Amino acid sequence: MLLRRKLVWIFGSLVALLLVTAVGAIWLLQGVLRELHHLDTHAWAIVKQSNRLATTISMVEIELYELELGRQRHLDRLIELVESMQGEVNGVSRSYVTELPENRAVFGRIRDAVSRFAVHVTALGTAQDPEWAAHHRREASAAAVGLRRDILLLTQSVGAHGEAEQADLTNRFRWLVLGLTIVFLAVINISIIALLRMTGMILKPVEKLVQATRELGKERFDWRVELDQKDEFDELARAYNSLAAQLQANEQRKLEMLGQVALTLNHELNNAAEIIELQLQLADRQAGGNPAMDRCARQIRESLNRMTRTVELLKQVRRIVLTDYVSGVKMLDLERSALPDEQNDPARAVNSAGNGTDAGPCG
Amino acid sequence: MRCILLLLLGVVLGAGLYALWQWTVRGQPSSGVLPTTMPATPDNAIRIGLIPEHDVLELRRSYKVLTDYLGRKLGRPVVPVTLSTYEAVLADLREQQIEGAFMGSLVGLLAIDRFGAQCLVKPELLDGVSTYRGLIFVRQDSPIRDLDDLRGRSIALLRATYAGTLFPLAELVKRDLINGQRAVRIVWMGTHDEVMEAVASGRAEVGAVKDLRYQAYVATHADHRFRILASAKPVPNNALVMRGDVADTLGRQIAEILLNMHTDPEGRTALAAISARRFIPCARAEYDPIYEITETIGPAWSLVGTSGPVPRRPGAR
Repeated sequence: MLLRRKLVWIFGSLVALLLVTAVGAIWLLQGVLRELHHLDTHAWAIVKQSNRLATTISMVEIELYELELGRQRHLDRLIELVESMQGEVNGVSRSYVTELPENRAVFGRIRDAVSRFAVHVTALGTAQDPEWAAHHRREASAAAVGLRRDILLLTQSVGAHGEAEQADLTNRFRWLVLGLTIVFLAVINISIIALLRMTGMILKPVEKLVQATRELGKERFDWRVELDQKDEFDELARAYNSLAAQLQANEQRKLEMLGQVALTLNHELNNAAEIIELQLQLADRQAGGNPAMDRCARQIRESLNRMTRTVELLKQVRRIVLTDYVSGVKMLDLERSALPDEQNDPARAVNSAGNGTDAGPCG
Repeated sequence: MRCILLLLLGVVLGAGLYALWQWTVRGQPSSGVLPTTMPATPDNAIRIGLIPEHDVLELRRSYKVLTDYLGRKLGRPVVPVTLSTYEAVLADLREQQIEGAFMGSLVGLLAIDRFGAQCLVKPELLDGVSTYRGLIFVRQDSPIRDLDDLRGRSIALLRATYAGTLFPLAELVKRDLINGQRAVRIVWMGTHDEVMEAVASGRAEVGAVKDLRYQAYVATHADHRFRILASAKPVPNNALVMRGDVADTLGRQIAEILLNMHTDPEGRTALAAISARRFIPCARAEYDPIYEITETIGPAWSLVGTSGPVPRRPGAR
């Protein structure tokens, strides 16, 4: 569970980091979108509304002209246009750009001019006297001229302001993209490091355990696995070390027992060998140079020497290395069992079926 | 467990994307501009003319409520048509561009006289008044005491109205103050309020307006004090005059609705919009004070500001 917890922590932190980065990026980009929306609904919308206002004024002037020429008797279209004009001015007034110092005076004049314009236009509707109607038409036209001029000024000012805002926004967006790129690169690097650490947490101990298993296969019972992860791999390493120690202890006991057996054999065989050697010397004296007797005596001595050497080797056994004796039966390989550790290579072990004894002519 | 987590993740992702989409869609600005083109008048619409007296925007707004009510009751659209001059309303009646109009007494009389129009109903205002009078007035501090003192003075008048033209001209004719050395100097104004302003400011020494506008002006200009020299006989205020060919059919339907609308909550709302309590019948005989003037005004009729002959009482032709 410790390993799982560690992995969950690392993985969870990584996911949290990615989420936070994503949310932060979205939030920042939303900020840019909000600014764009603000630009669209205020600066550019004001420009559009100002243009519409100018168009409405033109349409009002057309209606006034139609009235003057007598081509139009009805005022409803004119009323609608005046109301539309007032609505457009109110729409413009709701934007913050009209409160900017450079636009406040201009917009104030526009508002006054629209009021004057509306007054003269509506007075035109009630003026029954032709001279009085002409007076109001002239005043309305003069107000319209001033309106157009101020609307143009406002449009230019708002347009310039909008362009400046847009340039600023573009610059900020550029820096934002750069910043986000750096952040995402950093996040990618952190992710790679975290993933590498996660794999390291698993692969390193696995490698060590596999290596230890291989050494165990080579009967290197003194090989130990050292881990300091404080998790399940530590437990596995301790289990392995315990097993290796047990195997090593078993091997050591076997060698000790073999050594004791060798000592016992050495003691008993040496006594017997000495007696046999003494008798052989007596037999040689009595044989009086008989070649056949000499040959037999020589073979007996060689066999005795071989026995002595075998027992000697048995005393020098360092490990248990087996070889095949007959099918299904193994015996101790004395040569290899007595070799020093660095010369012992299980890979070179020969799976022999021989019994290791020579038959002589004396037999 | 894994499937549940994946499903949950899918739901959260879907919800997030939907929220993001809604945010981007909601952020689109609206145009928020009034239309600058008028919708076309339906072919079966009833057109009722309006002649603005002081605020053409306010007049149309308030009578739109009334015409909408009429339209709902009649089952046909009723459209207000705002006319620029009294001549315009007479021309529209002649050319059958409108079925009727709410009009002043002089123009109403001309419509009755020339086109056989009929006056049907008139509004009774909140104070119970359904008529108006003409007033001739001066500033409180004026040395003019009565109409005989008008010789050589300046007088502010309105064109083509009973109170602002016909009545004062008739008084001037009686006193031979139109022509010659005793003639007054006429200053033509556009609205009743402008006449009041002209007298208050001294641009004119005398003024002639309708009493209803006089009272409204005095109520809002407490610092201006005036003195009334003469007042005319009452005549119908803003009556509904229908074209002769539709007066007995469509006119009767409309009159019935208007006469009963004060019993209907919706009707009362429409009446409140035009500052009226109810509609009451209007008879042609109520215009007789105008005939009394037109029969005596003589050549001064040309100063009234309307074209065509002097209207004569029926039976006097």
